[in-house]
Amino acid sequence: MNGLIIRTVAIAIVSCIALLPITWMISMAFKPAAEWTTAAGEISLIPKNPTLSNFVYVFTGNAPDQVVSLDRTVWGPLFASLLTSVIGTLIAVVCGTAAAYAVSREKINESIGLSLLQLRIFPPLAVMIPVMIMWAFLRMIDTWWGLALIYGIVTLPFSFWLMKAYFDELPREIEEAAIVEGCTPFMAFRQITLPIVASAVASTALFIFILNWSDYIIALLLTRKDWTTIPVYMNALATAASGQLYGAKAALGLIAAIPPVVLGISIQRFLVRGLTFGALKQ
Amino acid sequence: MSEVASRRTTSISVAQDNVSAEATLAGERRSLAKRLLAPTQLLLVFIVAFPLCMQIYISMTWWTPLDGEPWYRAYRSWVWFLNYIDLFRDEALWAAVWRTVLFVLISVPLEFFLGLIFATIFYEGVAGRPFFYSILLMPMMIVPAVAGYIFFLMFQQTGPVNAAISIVYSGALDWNWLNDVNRAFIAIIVADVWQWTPLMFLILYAGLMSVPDDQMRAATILGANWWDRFRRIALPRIKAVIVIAIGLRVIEAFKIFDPIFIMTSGGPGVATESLSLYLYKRTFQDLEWSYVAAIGITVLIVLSLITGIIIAKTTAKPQAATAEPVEQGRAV
Amino acid sequence: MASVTLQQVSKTFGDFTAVDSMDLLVNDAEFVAILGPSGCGKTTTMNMIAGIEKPTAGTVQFDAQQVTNMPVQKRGVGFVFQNYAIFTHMSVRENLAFGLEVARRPQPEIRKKVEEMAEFMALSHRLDQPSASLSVNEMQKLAIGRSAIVEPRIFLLDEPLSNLDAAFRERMRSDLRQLQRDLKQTMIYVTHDQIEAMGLADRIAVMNEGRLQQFDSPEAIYSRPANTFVAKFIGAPSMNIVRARIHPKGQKLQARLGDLEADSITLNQRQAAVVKDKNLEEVLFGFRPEIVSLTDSAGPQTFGAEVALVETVGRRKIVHFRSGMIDFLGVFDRGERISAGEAVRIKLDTGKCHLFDFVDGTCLTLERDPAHV
Repeated sequence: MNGLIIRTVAIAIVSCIALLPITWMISMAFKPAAEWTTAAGEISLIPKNPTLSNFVYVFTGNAPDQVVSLDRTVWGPLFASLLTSVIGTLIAVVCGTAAAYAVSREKINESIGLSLLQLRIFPPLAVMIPVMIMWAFLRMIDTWWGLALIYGIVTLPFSFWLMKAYFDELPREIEEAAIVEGCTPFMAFRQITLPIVASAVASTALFIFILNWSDYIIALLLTRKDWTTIPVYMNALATAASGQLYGAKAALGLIAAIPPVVLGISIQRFLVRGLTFGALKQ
Repeated sequence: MSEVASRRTTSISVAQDNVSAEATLAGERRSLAKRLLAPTQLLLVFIVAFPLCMQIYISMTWWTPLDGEPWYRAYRSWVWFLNYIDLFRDEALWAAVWRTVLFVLISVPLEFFLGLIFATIFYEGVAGRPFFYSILLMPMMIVPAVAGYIFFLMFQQTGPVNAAISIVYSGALDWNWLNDVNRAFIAIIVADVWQWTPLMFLILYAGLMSVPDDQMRAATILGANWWDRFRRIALPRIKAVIVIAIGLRVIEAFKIFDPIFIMTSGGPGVATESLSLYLYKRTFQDLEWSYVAAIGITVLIVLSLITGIIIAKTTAKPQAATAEPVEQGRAV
Repeated sequence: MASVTLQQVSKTFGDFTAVDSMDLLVNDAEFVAILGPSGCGKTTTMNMIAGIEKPTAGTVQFDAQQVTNMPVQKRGVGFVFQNYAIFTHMSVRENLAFGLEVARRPQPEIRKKVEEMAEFMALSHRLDQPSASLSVNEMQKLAIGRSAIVEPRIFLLDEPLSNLDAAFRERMRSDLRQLQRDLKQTMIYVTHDQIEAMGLADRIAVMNEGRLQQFDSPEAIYSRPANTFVAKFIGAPSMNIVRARIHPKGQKLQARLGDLEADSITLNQRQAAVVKDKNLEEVLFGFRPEIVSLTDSAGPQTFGAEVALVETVGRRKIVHFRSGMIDFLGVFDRGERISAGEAVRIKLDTGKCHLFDFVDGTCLTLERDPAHV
């Protein structure tokens, strides 16, 4: 009993440490410009005059405590993040699920799994030169389809390995029974197997969406202005007149952080599987 | 007599039908599999095979986008392996590599041990487990670039880190973390440990939970204390999980870019310049694309060798030792 | 090596009472089975003896020592889990040595004891093999040996035979019995399988709904059940228990099983004395299917019945009878000529019948002192 209290207190302290930085960003997002920087010793975790002006500023481009108006509001990047992440997720899940099924059932091209894994091992910057040249050549720089396509490719290893683990667990007999009943192999896959793994596909899709949404470097390299995503937009946000826009950036950080945190907690039980490419289950 | 004969022939023809039906079915399945695999293969050719050839080609030239020539005319500045020879003499590159390795060697073990401690505490039992579990996982779910910005704020001169230290350390503190060679490096490590300890915790806790409950109880009844149970029962069973967790983190930590780029941009000077940041600067500040391509190819070769060796070693181990803990993990 | 005494032990989980005021005295070197249907509190009882759970009230003693609040590691109990909980990542030797290793005993001693125990358990040839490669009965031996090596004061076994198939169970049962004799250990064994308990134990503690129903030798439990629960739970098929009215007939008393006067059994002296003493008008009348016999003569102590169904199970015939309003079973040899639809006369040996209280089901004809239960 005593041990339980000590352990709980220890974990409570650790939780506070884990939450403190996030809390600081949230607090900053609600602070008026006057409180963004303080003299030493006057630091305060809770805004003295909480305000929504940072959010108003990034959404409308103007705010009472800002002199310079933004030439670009968060709506564009928000839409860009959402669209490219969703399309990228669709590409990854559709191709990954199909390929995983083929490899799991017919054992053809099993080496494809390892080549896909390599996509995750190499630092993106070590392999981006030809991709940037190709994207420029194909006029895909700073387009939503160019970004969505590369998102789909870099998250393909996750959908492939995760879905393969699910298909490997699923007994073949289920499809064989359907085929005996007169289904074609494709109908068996489409009408029997896919519905069974539907919830697994959904979890995988949410997980991949989080990964795509969390990207920074690819969007930094392959977008310029029209289709920058929220993280890139956030870091680039600065106006000469007011120097660092701490509060506005914190507001953007908060907007960027919310979807992954909400989705991540909702698929908590899936995370171990997801992060380890299906090697571990919880 | 004739009836029997005709019956026999029908049965044979039915059998033949079955054989051919089976054969067509297997064929149909195979062609379905090939069709399902095609999009992925196409994407792999598009994004791996073709670019790889292109990168090798460019890496043997001195081509840069400043030339105004399209990339396929890069052969005009063909230099064979000069870029590769250059990179071996590039002290800034090796300094960045070493810095990255140092970063991995400090932050990953820290994350591992902290994660293991938290996982063990959790395994032993805490009140409000689901609540604290969600909270502990939160840092991991923050967009890494945003995490970088959060710690950029945290480490400001008048930021909370200095404020917190000055509570313990009497007197106001005005360390300029991100502009100090050593402190900036520490700040980067702190940010990484904050964000990725949860990953270690998550995986190790799942591993511990997969250790059969009654084995732990049997050990307790045999007189094993907490440490014996952990070392002799739990640890050997989660070995594979530990390898996976550390492996994942080493790979990811080696690639680190987003938080450093946002917190310090590699500075002050080159104090926090990781391999990825070095490549970024050579790509966008110096536009030395052929040189970056050569470094990229070298990185590919080295990483492939390392992972190849690791995969060969882990799969060559006797089945009983490695296969089982993974199975245990799967069972849960 | 120790006796175990439970005194007024209770365990509640919230509103639920798992074990209710349990008294149990297990003698040194005795083999006791705790038997009952699932949810009867038998596992909780054993966990309290082991120290895995703490009683809400009451005390647990080993010999004269109070252990109620002693943690499990210090009690010196051997515990064999349902699935044996073998440390499958270790060799047989490492498994056996575990208890001594964690007690930080000197290596030469560990070596010697492990080898002796392996010899005793007939596992010597397996010592350095991975324990995952053992067969199920070797695993059981290993589990027992691993516990025995630290010389526990008592041994607790949690349904150790339940995950074996029937043929194998038979053999393991006799192995276990032999082992208990050789080790001269106090063993307490939890099971829901009455055949196992009957075959293994010196004494059986029958539990139901958290209460101890009867604690006695297998023979006594079978032939002198303390109440209708024990009577029904032990024996297969279980005892016929029917409602009966008491009617005087001359000097004697009769138990009328159905509605007809003809379906009456005259009580023997002892039975009649109890009924008279308590002035009962109604009782539950119990008789095992095994004592049902057929007769040709329509004499006293017989009554008519109709054969409703005949099942042949192995060497036995289980016959369902119907007589007026009551249904009951009889067990006969396979050779007995009897078929459904037949009208027969039934004879019962009154001395082997039991009378139970109509209200609380306790046995009225139990010879033993009720305080002993």
